[in-house]
Amino acid sequence: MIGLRLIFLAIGLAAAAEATTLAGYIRNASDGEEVGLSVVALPGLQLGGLANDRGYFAIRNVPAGRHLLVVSHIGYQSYRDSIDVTDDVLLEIRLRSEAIMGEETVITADRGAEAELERLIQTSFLTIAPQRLQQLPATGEADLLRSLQLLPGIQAASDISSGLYVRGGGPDQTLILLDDIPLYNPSHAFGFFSTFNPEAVRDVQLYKGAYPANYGGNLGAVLDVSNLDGNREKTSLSGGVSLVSTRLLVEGPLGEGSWMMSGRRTYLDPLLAAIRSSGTDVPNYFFYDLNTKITQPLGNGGDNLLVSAYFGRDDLDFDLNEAETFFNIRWGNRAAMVRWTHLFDPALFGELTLSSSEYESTTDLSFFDTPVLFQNQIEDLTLNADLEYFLRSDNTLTGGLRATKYNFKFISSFNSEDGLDLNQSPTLLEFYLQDDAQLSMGTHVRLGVRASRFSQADEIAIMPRVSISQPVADDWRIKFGGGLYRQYLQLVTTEGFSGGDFWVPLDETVGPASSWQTVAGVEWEPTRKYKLTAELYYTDLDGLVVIDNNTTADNNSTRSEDIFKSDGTGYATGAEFFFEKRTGRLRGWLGYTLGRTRRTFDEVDGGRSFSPKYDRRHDASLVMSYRLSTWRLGSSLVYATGQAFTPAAARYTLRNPATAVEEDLVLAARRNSARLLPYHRLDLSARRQIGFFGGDAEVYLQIFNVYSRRNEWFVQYDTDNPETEPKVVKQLPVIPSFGLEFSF
Amino acid sequence: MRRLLTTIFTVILGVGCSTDREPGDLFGSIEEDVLVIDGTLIVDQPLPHIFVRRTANPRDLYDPTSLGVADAVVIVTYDARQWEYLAAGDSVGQYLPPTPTPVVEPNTTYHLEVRVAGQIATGFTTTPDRMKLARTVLLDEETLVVVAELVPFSMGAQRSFTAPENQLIYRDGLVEMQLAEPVGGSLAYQLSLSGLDRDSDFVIDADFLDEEDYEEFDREGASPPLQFDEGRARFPWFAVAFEGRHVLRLFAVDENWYDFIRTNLTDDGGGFGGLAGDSFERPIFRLEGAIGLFGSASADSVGVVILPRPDGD
Repeated sequence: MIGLRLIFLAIGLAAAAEATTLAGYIRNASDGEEVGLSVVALPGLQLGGLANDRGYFAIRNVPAGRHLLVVSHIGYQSYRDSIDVTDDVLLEIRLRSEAIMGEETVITADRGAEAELERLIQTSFLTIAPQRLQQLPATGEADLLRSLQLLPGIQAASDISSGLYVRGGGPDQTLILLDDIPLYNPSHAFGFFSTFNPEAVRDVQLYKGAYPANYGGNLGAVLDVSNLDGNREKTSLSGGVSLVSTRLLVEGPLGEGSWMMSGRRTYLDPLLAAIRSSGTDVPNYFFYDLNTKITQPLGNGGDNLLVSAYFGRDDLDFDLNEAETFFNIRWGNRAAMVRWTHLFDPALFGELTLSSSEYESTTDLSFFDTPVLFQNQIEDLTLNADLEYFLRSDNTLTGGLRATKYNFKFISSFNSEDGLDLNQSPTLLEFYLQDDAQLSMGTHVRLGVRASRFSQADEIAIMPRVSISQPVADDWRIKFGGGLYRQYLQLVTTEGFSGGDFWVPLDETVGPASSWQTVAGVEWEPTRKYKLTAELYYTDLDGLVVIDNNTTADNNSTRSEDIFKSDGTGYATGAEFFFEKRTGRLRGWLGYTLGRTRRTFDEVDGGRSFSPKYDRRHDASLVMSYRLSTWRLGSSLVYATGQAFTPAAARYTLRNPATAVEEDLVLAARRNSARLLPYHRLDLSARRQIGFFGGDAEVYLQIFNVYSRRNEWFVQYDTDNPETEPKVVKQLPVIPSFGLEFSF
Repeated sequence: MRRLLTTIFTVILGVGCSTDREPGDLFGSIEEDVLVIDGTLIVDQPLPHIFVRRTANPRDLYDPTSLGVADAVVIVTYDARQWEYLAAGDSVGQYLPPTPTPVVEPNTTYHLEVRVAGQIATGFTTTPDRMKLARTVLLDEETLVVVAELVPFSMGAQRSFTAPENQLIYRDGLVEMQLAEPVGGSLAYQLSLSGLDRDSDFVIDADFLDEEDYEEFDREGASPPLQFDEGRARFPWFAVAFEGRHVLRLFAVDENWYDFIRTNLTDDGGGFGGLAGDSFERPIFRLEGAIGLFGSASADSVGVVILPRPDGD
């Protein structure tokens, strides 16, 4: 950390004249939340810069005197004031939300709205206002990850899964962060909902590919979610009641800082208890989660202390009360973070973060007195040091060190006999350096490199990253991005039952997975109202692994080569189109992806290339919302090519070699060589603003799958039937739901 | 306008609701009339019967009795000697070894050749070493202390079934089979359970099971492949559904047998989507010109009598 600081200061000293630095934080005037990536300018001096995503900015080499300062950000009124600069200045600037007469911008009043510069430089990057996501039609209640599935390039595995399949990659290839802490299983209710409480979310930033050097550890995408810091101006309460759960958020000032606490709990358990009391065997199930945050400025020098924590749990219990048969599964995440923000120099912004994340799952069952137990746990302890140096108004250097200690535990036992016992504690050391520069003619370039050393891999990986953005006309911009990526952990997941997911570190017998990504795109943004983005992407994958289900049942080896089928390769390529209307009464987007992805493993299907299940040639979504007085109407129409599945090729009879009993069997054709019917679905919602005990509220009605299309999920073959009658298991039918959201 | 909107919604509903389709659409490239070879050699047992059948079109009504192949030439070769099989008179597709029938020897490679109307299918298997259970015990399920040692089949089948130690109360204790040392030449192990009393009653009795569930229970069952790293394996009570005499058998299997059972996942995909897709895959057959299994194993057995739990327990 000290070495890094010296490097940055040395660079600055070499470039600096004797002048002052104008720096400060930019916040939302109504609640004091940070407003990241605002444009800060001294027009009279033709100097300016951009605030970072913490809302901090610094403009160096400002001559002494009185200067006009302008700060602007989409969705806020521009700030204009004359500032007397005599020495280094640290300001706190409050931006007021903007309401355009007769219209309402999608970004208006969205706290922590779109990250303007990041969108300009970075390919495949977008931000979503959480309030906007909450207004989309949903199943039961709004969910962040399920809403992201409506964007081009992002798919869902099924109606009950909130897992993200981004540009041909599986859910394990997407890094998911909450307040910079990785979450290893961000799901509730077997994957139906994510762990993100929409009430508590402030920012959602998504890199669909070619992400920059300050992130690492995953092959594909990054979802970076930030919770609210808390309202610095007043104490407030908001919440919601849906058919699934109740959630509450309270926040308020704490000295010069703020605090926030939000909780959510489902109330299915009393309903299930009532059904059980009538004599019907049903399991008991509940989930809950809790988010808290405290921020406190330290002194007057711009330092800040932030503490954030998350705790969530799911519990499924099914005791049949006889024949020693029961089933209990519990899983959950715990995460905490402490961050100290320090200004070494007005132009040198630093953060030191200590965080811990833990995911734990226990499956404890007995079937006719045969006990089975699976327990797995992943926890990490990470120390992160980041520096950001505002070298010039057109050049910012960032760099950082990261040290992570993991702890993986997986134990199993069957019939009172111990099985797999994995207990590993690898470490991961990472370093990154990145330069954001604006060259002449409006060209933005981001060059970065990330280096990593995983204790169980025999290499130091050097991963370059690049992103270039070039305006070619008034409204047109072309972009290019790319990089090399590594992944050292592998997720073993079961679609439809995410509570049993577990992570395994890849050891020296297999080696890390890697990917090369390239993206090229063009953007057309004639006004704030419309935007069209088109991107081509190609990802080359190497060193892939899949769980090996063809080993012995009592395989207790913890070596990666004995757990996985390895040395897989693959690619994903496609074209995405995204057209948005962002202002006005009618808003929404039309997204379309033409994509293709393939995998090849020597031990799968005779080494032939196959389509993974989530390879979908076409994927389209039309999402609209319309404001009519106190009403807001919403719709989402999605269409996707059917998923790939393995069909049957023949029937045959063979004696079971161990019992000598003849069995009728079905012979599989080539892996995933057939397709289910196309998937499509229409969801509608209607929301109405009402008064509620002196506060504001919104009641809503949502209808999932309006025309009740029973989309196909998977195919089963029944060998007991003389006709090989394939049974297609269908997905969810029409599901209406309603609820209430309120704020005080 | 109203009529147009009504028409649009009617079309959407009509198109949207319907996801029925012809079952034939859910099949892949059909592999009909492929030879299916079925023969497994057990060390110290006579050369087995070998079945030669064909695959059927999955779209058609399945009649396994019609799939036997007549007029096949079936030859087993080992130690430079050939044994030509004879067609069984009463069962099309079944071929019998010549008499006197030799006994399968350990650590020996057997070659199979089947010729049918210009088609030739071949395979080979190398038998493992002999396998003998060190012992089969009953453990206390709490303390895992041995409470009884069962009488093996090698002491005589009659004695095995009548010995008091072999009378097991359903769900009392843990049955554990133990090997003194790994069996040479085998890649894995497999347990099987066979009920001999075909009319015996159910030993399970649970209100959460309905009539359909009871019909699913079989009198025979086999475990997935096992490694037996610790030289022991415990028999799960959920594999037992009926009272009466049962044979517990442990097999030490060759590569062909192991590859087939580990890749022939018979889970029909019940559960969730991911299981259905990934668990339905083509097994490894290790035959040329055919599918099926030509494999070998050595085995040892113990007989037990499963008794129902006392009333009220």
